[in-house]
Amino acid sequence: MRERKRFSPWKDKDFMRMLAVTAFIFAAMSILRPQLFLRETNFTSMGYQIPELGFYSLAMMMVMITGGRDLSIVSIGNLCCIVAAYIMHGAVEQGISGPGAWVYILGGIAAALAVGAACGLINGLVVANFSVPPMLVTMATSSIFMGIGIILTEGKTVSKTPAEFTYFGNHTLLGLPYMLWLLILTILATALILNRTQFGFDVRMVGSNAKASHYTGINVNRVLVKAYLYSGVVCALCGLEILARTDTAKSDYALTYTFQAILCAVLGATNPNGGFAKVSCMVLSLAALQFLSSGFNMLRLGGYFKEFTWGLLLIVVLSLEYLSQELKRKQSLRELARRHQKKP
Amino acid sequence: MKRLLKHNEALLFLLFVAAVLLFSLVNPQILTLANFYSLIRSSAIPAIFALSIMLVMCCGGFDMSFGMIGAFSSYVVMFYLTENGKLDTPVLFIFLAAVCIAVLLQLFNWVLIDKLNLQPFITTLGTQSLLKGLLLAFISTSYIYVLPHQVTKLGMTYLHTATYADGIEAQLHVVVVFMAVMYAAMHLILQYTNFGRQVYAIGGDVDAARRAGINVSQVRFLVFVIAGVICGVGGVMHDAAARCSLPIPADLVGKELNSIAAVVLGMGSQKKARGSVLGTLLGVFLLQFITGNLIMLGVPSYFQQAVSGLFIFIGLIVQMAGSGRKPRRKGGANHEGA
Repeated sequence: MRERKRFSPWKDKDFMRMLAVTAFIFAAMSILRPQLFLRETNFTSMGYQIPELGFYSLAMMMVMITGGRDLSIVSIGNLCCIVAAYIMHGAVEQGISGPGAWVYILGGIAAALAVGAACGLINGLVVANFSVPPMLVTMATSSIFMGIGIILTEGKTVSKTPAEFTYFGNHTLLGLPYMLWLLILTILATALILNRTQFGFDVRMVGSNAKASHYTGINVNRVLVKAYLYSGVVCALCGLEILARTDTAKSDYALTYTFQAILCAVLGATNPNGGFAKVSCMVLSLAALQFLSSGFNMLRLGGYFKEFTWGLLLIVVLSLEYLSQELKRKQSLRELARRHQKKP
Repeated sequence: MKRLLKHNEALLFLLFVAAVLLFSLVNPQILTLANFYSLIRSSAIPAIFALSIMLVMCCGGFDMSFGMIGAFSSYVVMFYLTENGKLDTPVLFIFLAAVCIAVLLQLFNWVLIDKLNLQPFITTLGTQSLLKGLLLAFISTSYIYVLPHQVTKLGMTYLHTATYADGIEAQLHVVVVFMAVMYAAMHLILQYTNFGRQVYAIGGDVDAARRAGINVSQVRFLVFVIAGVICGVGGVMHDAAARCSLPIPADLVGKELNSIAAVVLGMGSQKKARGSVLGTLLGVFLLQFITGNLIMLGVPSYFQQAVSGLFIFIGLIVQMAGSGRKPRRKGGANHEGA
């Protein structure tokens, strides 16, 4: 019943299309600003910028496969960031450094992951057990998580964590930032989970048809809870990444990532109706968005212009997808009609 | 009584009354006419916009761009008039211009959702981002504080004034008239016209409606036109009441989900044909009352976000938990069905 296809990126249409788009953006930016865009410093700085959106997009993608939306990703990330910052700040306050500080750092990391998992679990349990649309659930919990962050910080910014921790946010290993390595590992893990495990198979089945999967014996609720749990944990990783890089935590940091994550996932061939996603395409769309973003900065086009382009990009990509599907459908219909005519 | 409780609107109303009484036990100031007037003032604009999204949700669609469309249409008109010194333009013309722009923008949504059959939530999120960027990058980012005279006058028209015990005045703003007229008209349209019943039919089951001979595309067209009219009027009223025009007003853009929550609270647990005009109004008032009066209860302001989120969360679960526990799912299909 289960058919495993060998992964061959060169035959994959979505992958090739996205590769072409990414290459086009890269070429355009290189031609427009060759002295700035093609420099090594630019690539390093892009390497520092990519992880945030990357983590959030992965979190969004996993929920989107089930056919839902997770609008609480940024709130979860910020809440985890705040919790970790408070715990790690303890080390700085007491002037501990060296091995002692690592206790605090590991404690902070564990707490952040636990908070992320708990938030994801809440989302998942509610989505699975009550028939409230996931979008509305996560919108409400987003407000709660953000509110908890505001209560914890009283609206202020939390900063100063041990230098041992922020080192990982601002240094490179083998030419790539530590956090980019973390993202790469997470992406690989996600790809493995999606393509090589029972859960990955189930999650896609639930997304494409929940009712049918229920009748084939998949525990739909458990799959949903797991998907949201995964999303929460990845958000926690993102919170830690933000803390390591910026050394600050704030409850309303970067709220626009929700939209960007949706954009990135949809660009990366994730079906917004559920059931279908390609991690390879998402990586490309992540790179494409980053090239676009860095390139716009070098062309001195402001953030507003970026927002305009994102919206346009989303609508154009979705429309093109529809039109190409429609074209394919019509072609196959014509083909059928022709065959039908020949017969008699 | 039991039958009354089954009615979602009655239940919401009781909840509202209970909340008012409970709150006023802590602070008797809450149960004054003045506080009631300020509640109306703060709820009227969200209520108008909630009506627009309610209509779209009734026919099984979804819209995240209504706040941005309202802000966009109004700001563009105000910007044009103030830049060209045409401050004496009659207010009727301003409304008309804003409504035209808003209708055009909603029709853009209609093309994407109905003609191209795209996912409503994601598409309209795209529209929102597109409009935000368009406005800020290509039109203007400045705040307009000097509005056309008639709009300013409209913003300072009060029907009645009441005072709190400590002498602070609160007025019954004229925007309440607009809100009331729109709600009454929408109720009549949805309940007593053929079009209204068709909207509910499409919201219940698109395929069934199509087979029953309803021109789905045409009905949706009208729905988006009406939504555009509401957004246009709401945008101008928002600027009149706020006495300034901002490109991205924080109380409209980014607060869409509050309006959606109000609509969901209002529609109760009916499974299919959904969206109730009165329920939406009560939902908006309930949410505004709770979030607006937390300060008067002595809750620190940084608790507001979490508490209002918690109320929405509980409200959603209570309202929707009863409807169809079967493995329906298919994600957000309940509200996003294309």
